[in-house]
Amino acid sequence: MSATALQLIALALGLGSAVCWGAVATSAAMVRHAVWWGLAAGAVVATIGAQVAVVALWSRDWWFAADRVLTSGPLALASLVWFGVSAVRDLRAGGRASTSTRIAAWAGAFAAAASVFVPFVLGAPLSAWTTAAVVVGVVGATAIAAISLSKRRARRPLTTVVAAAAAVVVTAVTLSIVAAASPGPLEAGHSHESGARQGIVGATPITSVTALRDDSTAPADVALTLEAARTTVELASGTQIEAWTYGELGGPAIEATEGDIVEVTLRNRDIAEGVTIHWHGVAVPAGDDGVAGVTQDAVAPGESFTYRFEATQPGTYWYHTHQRSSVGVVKGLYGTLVIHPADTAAAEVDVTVPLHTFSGRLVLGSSDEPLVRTVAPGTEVRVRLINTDQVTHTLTPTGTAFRVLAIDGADVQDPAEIERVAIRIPAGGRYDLGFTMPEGGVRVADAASRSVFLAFVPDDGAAPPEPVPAQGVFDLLAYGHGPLPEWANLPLDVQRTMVLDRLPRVTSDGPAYAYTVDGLVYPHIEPTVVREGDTVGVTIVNRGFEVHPMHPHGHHVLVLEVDGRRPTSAVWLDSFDVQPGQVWKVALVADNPGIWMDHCHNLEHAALGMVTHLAYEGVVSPFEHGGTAGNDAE
Amino acid sequence: MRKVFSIVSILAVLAVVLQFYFAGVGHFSIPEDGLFGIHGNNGRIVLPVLFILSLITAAIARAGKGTIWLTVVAILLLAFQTVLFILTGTIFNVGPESAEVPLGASLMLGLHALNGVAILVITSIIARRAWVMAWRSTPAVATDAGRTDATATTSP
Repeated sequence: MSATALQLIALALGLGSAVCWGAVATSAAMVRHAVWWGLAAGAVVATIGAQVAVVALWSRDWWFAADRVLTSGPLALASLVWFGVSAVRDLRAGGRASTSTRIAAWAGAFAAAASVFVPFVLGAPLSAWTTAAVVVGVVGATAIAAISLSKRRARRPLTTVVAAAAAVVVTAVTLSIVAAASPGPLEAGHSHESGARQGIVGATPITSVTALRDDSTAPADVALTLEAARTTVELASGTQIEAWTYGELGGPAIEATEGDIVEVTLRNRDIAEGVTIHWHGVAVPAGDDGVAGVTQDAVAPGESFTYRFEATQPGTYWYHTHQRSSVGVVKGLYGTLVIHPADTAAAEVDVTVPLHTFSGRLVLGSSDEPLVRTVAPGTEVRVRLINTDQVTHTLTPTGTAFRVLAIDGADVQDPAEIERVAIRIPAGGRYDLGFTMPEGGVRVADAASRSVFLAFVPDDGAAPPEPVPAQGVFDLLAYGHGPLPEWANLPLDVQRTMVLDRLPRVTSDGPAYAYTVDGLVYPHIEPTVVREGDTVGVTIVNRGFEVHPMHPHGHHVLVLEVDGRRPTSAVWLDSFDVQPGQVWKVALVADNPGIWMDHCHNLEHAALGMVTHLAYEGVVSPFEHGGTAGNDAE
Repeated sequence: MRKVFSIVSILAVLAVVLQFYFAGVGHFSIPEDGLFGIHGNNGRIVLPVLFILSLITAAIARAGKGTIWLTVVAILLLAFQTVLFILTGTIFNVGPESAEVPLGASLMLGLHALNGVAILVITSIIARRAWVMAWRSTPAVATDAGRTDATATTSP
């Protein structure tokens, strides 16, 4: 059973037991009456069932269960024992339930209420004082019930306790609002005089991200200027969209060869919100990472910024704005970047297709009509699919067997031919598919659209094959064969766990039902602090009910385990879907000093808090979130 | 405390009515503008807070067993509004990326609207009872409220 199903069961049993306990506590029925002991039995069974579900969750990962195990669990068990002893005595004596039994039932009800409140409001991990507050809250509520049961006429103590509880709640809310306004761990400890606004100062010498740039003087092999501007685009279907682009919808496409120096000057014509370029998946020097407020200031209208890096890793990448990205990328500030290998020839037909949704219409490249290419049978075809949307795209190639040649720019070791398998590309992810053009044609269908698809036909005007439903989903853990690098089997230098969830929190934009890491929102999430050369293990636990496409900047991560399953080959990713209830273990080598964002590439989730950083000791940044440039990366 | 309970339960009804309005605003807007978020935030933060306050104030005001249980039912129905999406997603294996939503999933998700109507009805009943308890002092009603109060307090 999946962790998500267990979470739902624990929730349902928690609510059910709270209702049963409440009914038992307020019932005026005789204890030997079926109504009374039926409700009591229901409460006991639901409570035990809920604890079993929590233990089952614990067996998946401690962080699915930590909150309940430390708070509501022991309280529920204690009240269960108390109720059991007291109720058996009552049943022997007959008559109505004793005050002791009623108080025990109230305790059960409050513990059950806590088992619902804690995971959906507080989350995990819990601080010691939060754990204590929950225990005090449940015990206090039980005390109120006990007072009002035993001294029915005296209302003053009740009022006092309620006032005290209200004061605690008001204080807690005020504190969390004040805490939300305080600087995060990356920003703390930097005075404005020093010039550094962010960074972990541990090692010396101190380096600024502005110094971590390509300093070669060689002329650029690929040089171009991108002008970001507002524009109205009429799609092939006639739909008009208000887009923001770097010059054209889905582009311009940048192509380079391994070893090339790429130099791109970004000008902002009229995007008042500001703009940058982040090279998604490319390990550029930190100063060229294009994150507003971390590696540069947002480029305002009329201003420009020049990026320069050596194209060292062949593969399929893309670029997009990282200033107000949850708005800018959605509106079209993105393009494709392909780095060809220096020594191997490209496939005869090499197509790059960014997948994006504008006003509810799937757009392949720059068109919202089927993209059909005529290719002679027998030709080698490579299709580079790039998901530039916020959610997963599911694609099913039909008409041919194919290989997954590369994922996120990294070649797959020994890729086998597969057929009728759906490919799920995470937000921000890239899949390179390869096949030999068959006689009958090929269709690549996207689950996001009925009418828009990618097709390869043998003759002009020939009809592409009809779509055939996939029989399975591509499993990247079972695809390819090859050894993991040796360091992956050695103890890792740095270990970090990230618990993803959705909880009510005060974000920088005010209170929201936010997306959290370790129960916190940006900028309060602890960064992963590393030194150059460290091997870093990251465990990601998704307690929420939504997919989180996690994207670490400047590094590829090696997949070690997903829900305990190990991959059959070395899988290197920079954008991976952590499904609800999943536990991913990944590792990376800290070989690119800087302050690197590590965030959910569902940019709405990032804008609502799910942003943390990989921070190298001794690297600082003179930039800040907000400020005069109005930096706001998400 | 009865007056507090009455005010909280009226606020709850107003927030539920607004919730219908926000659903309309979200539905008739461009998805990119994110206006559906207002419906989400109201439903996941404002409504739970008001409903839980309604339960607490009803209990302290000794509003009577029936009314207190109605506030519990409102909370359970509210929780179901979100759980319905998770359940449908699990049963039909659909998510936000799916263009093709099976008819069964759509029919099931339609219950979100009906459940919303049920929540409106229940919160209205709670608000009416709270109003009668707090502000009317006609003998008949007073006796009625007094009786429920008496049952609640003498039941042990």
